[in-house]
Amino acid sequence: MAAREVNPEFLAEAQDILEAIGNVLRQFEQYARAGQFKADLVNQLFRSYHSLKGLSAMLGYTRMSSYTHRLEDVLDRVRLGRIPVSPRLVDLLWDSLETLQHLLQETAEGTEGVDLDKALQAVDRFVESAQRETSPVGTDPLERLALDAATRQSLTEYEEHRLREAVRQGLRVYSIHLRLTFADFDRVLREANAVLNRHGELISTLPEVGTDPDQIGFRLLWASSASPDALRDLLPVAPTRVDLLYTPAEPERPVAEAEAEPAEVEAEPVFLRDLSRFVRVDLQALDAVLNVVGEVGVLRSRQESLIRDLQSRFPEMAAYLAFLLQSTQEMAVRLGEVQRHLLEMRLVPIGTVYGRLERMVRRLARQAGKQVQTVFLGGETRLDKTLIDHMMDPLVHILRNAVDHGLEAPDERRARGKPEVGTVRVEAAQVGQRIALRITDDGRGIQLERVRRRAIQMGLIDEQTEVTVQDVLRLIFEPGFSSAERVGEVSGRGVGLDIVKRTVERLNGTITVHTEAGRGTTFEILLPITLAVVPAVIVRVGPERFAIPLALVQEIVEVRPEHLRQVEGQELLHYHEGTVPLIRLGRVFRLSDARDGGVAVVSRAGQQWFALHADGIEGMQEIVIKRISARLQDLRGISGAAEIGEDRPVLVLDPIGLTVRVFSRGSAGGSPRVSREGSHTLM
Amino acid sequence: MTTGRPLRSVMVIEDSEAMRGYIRTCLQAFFPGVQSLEVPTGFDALRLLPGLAVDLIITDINMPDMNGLELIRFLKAHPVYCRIPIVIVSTEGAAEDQRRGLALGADAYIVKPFRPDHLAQVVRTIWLRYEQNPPSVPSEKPAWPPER
Repeated sequence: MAAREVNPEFLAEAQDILEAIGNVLRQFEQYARAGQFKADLVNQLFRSYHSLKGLSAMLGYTRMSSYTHRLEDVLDRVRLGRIPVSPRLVDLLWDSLETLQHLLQETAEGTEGVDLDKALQAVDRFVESAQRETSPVGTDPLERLALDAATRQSLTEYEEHRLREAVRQGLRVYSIHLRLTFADFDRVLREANAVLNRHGELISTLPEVGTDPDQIGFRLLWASSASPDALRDLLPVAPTRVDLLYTPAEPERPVAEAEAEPAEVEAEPVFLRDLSRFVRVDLQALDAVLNVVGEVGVLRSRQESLIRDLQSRFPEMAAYLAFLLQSTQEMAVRLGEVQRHLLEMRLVPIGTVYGRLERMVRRLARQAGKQVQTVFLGGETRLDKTLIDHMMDPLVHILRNAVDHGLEAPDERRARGKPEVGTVRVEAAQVGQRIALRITDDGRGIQLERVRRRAIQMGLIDEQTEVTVQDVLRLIFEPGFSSAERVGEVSGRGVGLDIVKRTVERLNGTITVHTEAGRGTTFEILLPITLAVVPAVIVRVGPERFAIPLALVQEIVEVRPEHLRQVEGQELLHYHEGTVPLIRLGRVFRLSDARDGGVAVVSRAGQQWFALHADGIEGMQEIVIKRISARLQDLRGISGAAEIGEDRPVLVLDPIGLTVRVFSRGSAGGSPRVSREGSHTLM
Repeated sequence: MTTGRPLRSVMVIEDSEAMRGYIRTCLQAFFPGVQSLEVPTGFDALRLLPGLAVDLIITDINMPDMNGLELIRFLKAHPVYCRIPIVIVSTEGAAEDQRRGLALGADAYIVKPFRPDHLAQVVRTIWLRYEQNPPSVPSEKPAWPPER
């Protein structure tokens, strides 16, 4: 197949559509389980498949378009009532999402890995078995509606069908006239639409021609069991006119306050609405603006120091210069606001990836013959886009573990008196300036004894070592531990928990695990909301300065000669009751060879403690970490660059990477074995 | 073909961003200098139209908030907007919706996927027709409001 340029806009939009499908499907399924049919959700699904089909056909991605075409057709039949809602339909749709994800991937890669015929056959088989007999011919219920011809002409086939259904179900059909001020009609109307959909079904939205240019009229067709009085209370604005197009002959159904919602249905996530208000921006473009803002900040501070200089030289201008100084300082405040807004823009709701995670959990459960119920909460919690991207693999791994090792098979669960259907929960919440992610399963818990045996086998501990529960739990994060434990069908491939932990720590986060035998396991991950602004310590090394993120600093201590000693060529620093290896930044970066004095910044990578030696501390400040060129990025130990208010940027140190760099070069025998003295255990 | 004629502007109403981009590219390739105003929903179109002079509207049918037919019905009943030609761009398999769109007064219906030159041909024909034969303000009472 000839390689051809894949349209990046297509990929981005298709991915958005798949995520939207996942989110809507989740709600749809919850209603379906409660035996309810939500027409607007089905229609949203239809529209998503429809857009995807149109898009892929237009751009010539024929495999994608033929598959989406088939699914669009299925959804069209569902929304027109020709295919009933069933658990099999829900399964088919989840499967299709999985297939689409793969199709999208192969489109991006220019390969053809998906067995398209098989996927299409699955859809066909479903359609054959699910087709409903066409309803008996009788008088068209639409004839019973007081609907003028022009209005009827502007209804789509689908909308007509929904009107027929409303009449068949004995609902009232209203025509509601609203007159709205032009300035905010779309907001008010969307608000009204949301309310009307909660208490019935909004079938059509018809704008009306009026004479006042400051106003715009709309006529809404709405089906509901609610009474006209109830309707007036629901709307955010008083209607100018309400007509009943159809009143059921039957005795009144109880007036619905709102259609009963199934217990577990979450409110429609806010981020699904108002999509049209958003523009998509390349993250790199945002970063570029952020960089410019940083540069303007640097120029500004140079300006400030020039002004101060002038003040001391020309006292006669003091008054003017004071004004100038004041205005440049105000500028600093404003720039800070710009920066904050920009950082805010990088935040996206974590719910945008819930759909993808949920699909994966279901597929895994099915493969493993387990039954699972998923609960995803806190989807509106926002965090940095980059953070979410980095967290995908770790989350996938933890969820895999939960399904594969955590949850028991249905019969085992029954035998233990637990519900056959296991539960996997993912919760996100903002806790102060951090984001907490909690992944919980109600499975068998981590089997501590097995972990201990495995650790002994791997030589991590010896038979006699007394280990606490916490010790054992730490062991599962050891390199090579989880992946070697059992190469199951489902988990155990790709990243291990050690990588999970390392990723989280690299993002300035922490991960902890709690487990209870027979009750389940919880992983809790704490992350900063954004990667971009971090408080940092600025250290001086020879003529250079470096920034070290404060989150990675345990303590800063003064270095005295009597605190130092050498063991097998490695310099050690006395620290509390033990020693930690000392890394001299001056030597690493070949900047200085000063031997005496200075400071040590104590840090740690997981269980490994170490100290970075610098000539002195310059101060502490908030820095914006910028990416640096790929060539420099290869340098382990540098995570980026930051402006600290003067001409020259400083490099931001990544202490963890630095230890890898220093130790893997320093001792050929792999990572250093430093004497185990004192209370701080070293690797 | 563009000499001596004021620049045209086209409003594209389409909820897919990539599709909007495709239509814009098609238009710009065949009508150099054409101004393309793209909006994702009918609401946005209603909001922007009063301040614009638009020579053509290209709209999808299946869209959130308000469908294309509802929008067309409004535009064709409006004393000013009724003179703007409308092209529906939608997918196949919706023959009934297509028929209704044309019955409401749309000038053409193009089925996705379409080739750029096909769109250009349709647009060129429509503009030619409107130039030679400008539509008059409907003197009749508009179809709407019917029951007042």
